[in-house]
Amino acid sequence: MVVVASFLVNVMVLTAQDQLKISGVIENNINQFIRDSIIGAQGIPQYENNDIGGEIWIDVNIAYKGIRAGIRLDGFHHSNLLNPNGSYSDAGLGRVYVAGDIGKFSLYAGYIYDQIGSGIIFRSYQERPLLIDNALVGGRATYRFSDRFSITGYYGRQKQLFGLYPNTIRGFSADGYFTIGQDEELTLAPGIGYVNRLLSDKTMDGIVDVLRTYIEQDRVVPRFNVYMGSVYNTLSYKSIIWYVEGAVKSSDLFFDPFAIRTEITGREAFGKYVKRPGTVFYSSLSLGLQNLGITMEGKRTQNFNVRIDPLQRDNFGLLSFIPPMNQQSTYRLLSRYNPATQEISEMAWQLDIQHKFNNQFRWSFNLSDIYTLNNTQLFKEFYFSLQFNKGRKWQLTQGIQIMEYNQEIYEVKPEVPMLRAYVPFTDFLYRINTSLAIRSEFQYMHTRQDYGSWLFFLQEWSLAPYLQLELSGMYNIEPATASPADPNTGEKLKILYPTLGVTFSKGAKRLSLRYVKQVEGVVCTGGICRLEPAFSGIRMNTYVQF
Amino acid sequence: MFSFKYLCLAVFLVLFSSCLEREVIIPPLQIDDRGKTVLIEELTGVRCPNCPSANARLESIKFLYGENIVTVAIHGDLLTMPLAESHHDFRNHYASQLENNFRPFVGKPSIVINRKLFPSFSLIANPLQDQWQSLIESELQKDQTLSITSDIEDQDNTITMNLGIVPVSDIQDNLWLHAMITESHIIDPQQDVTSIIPDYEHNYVLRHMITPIDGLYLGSQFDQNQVYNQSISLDKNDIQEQWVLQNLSLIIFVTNSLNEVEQAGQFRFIE
Repeated sequence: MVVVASFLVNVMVLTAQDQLKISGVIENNINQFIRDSIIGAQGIPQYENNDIGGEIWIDVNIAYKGIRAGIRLDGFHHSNLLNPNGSYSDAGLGRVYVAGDIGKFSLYAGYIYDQIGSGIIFRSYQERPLLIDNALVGGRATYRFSDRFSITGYYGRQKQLFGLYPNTIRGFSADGYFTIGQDEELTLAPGIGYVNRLLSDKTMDGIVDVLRTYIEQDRVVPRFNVYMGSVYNTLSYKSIIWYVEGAVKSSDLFFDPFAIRTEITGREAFGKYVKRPGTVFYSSLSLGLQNLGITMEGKRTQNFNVRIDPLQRDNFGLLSFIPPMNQQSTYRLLSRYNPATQEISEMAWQLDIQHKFNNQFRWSFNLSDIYTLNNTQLFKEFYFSLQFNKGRKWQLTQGIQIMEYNQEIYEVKPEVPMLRAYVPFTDFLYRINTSLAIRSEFQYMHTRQDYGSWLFFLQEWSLAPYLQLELSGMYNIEPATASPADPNTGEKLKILYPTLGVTFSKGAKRLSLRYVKQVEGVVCTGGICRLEPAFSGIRMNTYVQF
Repeated sequence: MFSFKYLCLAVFLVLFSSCLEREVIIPPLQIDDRGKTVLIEELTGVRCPNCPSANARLESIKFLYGENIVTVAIHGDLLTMPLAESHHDFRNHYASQLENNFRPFVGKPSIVINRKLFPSFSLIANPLQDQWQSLIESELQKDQTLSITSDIEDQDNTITMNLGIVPVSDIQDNLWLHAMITESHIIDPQQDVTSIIPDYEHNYVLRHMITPIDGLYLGSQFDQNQVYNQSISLDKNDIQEQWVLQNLSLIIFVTNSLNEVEQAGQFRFIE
């Protein structure tokens, strides 16, 4: 990989003079696993062998006289991204593409990352931390009838690590852009989308193999095709932006972990394949005034679990992407309990307000509420923060998050009570001079459920633009039922999970080195419980953009 | 340009033209007994909410294939800590050691079928319940390589098991013998997806291993239809008070040099 990277960089230098534009990104993670039995960082091959694991992505793009092309090489060595409890090693071609314009046509062949509308009926994307890479491998053609109307067609198969799923995807979208009124204050950007997934005989054989083990009343007859359609529009008027999308899918097979099946023995158990049509309705309304921004979002989801192969689970084979409906926080404790999008039954809404009183003082407010279509509460969050700036010298942010999280459903932990947490936080940034700054974070999570209460502190020193030092710790100050216990006394342990890190940056190059201890957790989704293990070790990340 | 536009339109129409949906026929279950048995080691735990569902699936498979299926429930480390309501602790160091031998695994429930790695999944412990029956059937359809018989003798302080191993064909491979004790019909709480089942019936719970974890070496040359005898004994002090003798089973299986199971058998401990 390193040789290939050097070669590519050399090519870049040699050809830069010929108007050939070459750009790219090299990203690399290296993990040194250091066993720590107290926090549970053990039992996977990397810890038992004191191993080094990692990943590398080398992405190179070229552009020459309207033709664009690119290649990405992916490498994994004893990586725990695919399975946090396992070791994955492989390397190969992660992406290759060539694209160009012929008249009103834009043509693209290769590995496609794209979406229709907000991605509800089709989204192909890469999410490296979760090893999601569901590129569509095939072709895309766009025909522009005018500046205001175009049609795009897709055809291909979905990527599966370094191979392809045998099933076919085809679809199209038609997008328009219109203005109304003399001063063109009202604009509309309507669109429609259509996607068809066709199963291969091989996949259907696998499905039949599963369904034949069901008793007659639980059996459904699968179909080779699923059809999805969506209608969407973005309306803009002055400072108002309103997006609305409705999506439907035909009756298709998917796994419902809460459906009851009856075994041949007469015993009843959770989880079976069902065949149902699905719908998603999503809308967001934003108001952007000079010092005030208000956004309201709402979403209703029913039976919209669509995969390239219905037998796939977890993050594999996803075709659709349903936007999450809660505040995305960067603070450690505020983001500890995150509501995963529920594809089978969910009703959600969110209100977000950002207001600036003056240059010194601003506040933000967020309220989100998520429940099932049967009115079972899933998640509720209240967030409020105040920010005060003293010129560019210092900045103080303080706030609170109050949340309810249905751990029983999100993590399939039966009979655990609704998790209620109160998380006050403070963030203080002080600029000593133009290049030197210090930042402190303090968060406290008060809860009696799961691991109990936590304290989190962070101290960061920045020497702009090159160096950043970080020291942080997450301390289980009041352990509860899920916290690790002393094997001899059974007493719950108050464990500190520290992190010490340094980041060097220069231009678009970044190197970070961190010593990390991270708390473990069991996550159950799609009928399978997965232990997201505690991490103990050293993490190095490099990012080079050229 | 004009013809190119229409060429693209033609391609578009061909790609998006729909064919008639073929009818999918789901065939009936085929049950075929060729004498081969399959050992299923189930990685489970009382705190594993999806395990009752998986266990129901395994029970159905056992219902279909009867004694050809030999099951052992391994309550190792993950999700096995007794619940507040539990009366039993199913954990023991044999289960822990076996579970660790099967690492890495994705999670629970998972099963290990004849200790084989199958092409359809990358790990030996398979969590994909959808695949289980097909994989087990594919093993059952293979030719039987040997048969196992057992005679249990109850003496003063020991229980002796006299085993007979008879190759169905000549075998030139290293073979190891494994012997376990399991207990069934234990009523104790178990987590389920939405609740804790207070009177859940736990079956085939691994209680003890008579042979070492890696097995007892039998040899490398075995002639067809020749009876190979092996005796193993269990100290009665190893039988814990809370175990119900009538519910104990002796699980015997033979592994080869690839550590794959050739044949397995389940015998009543006390008739």
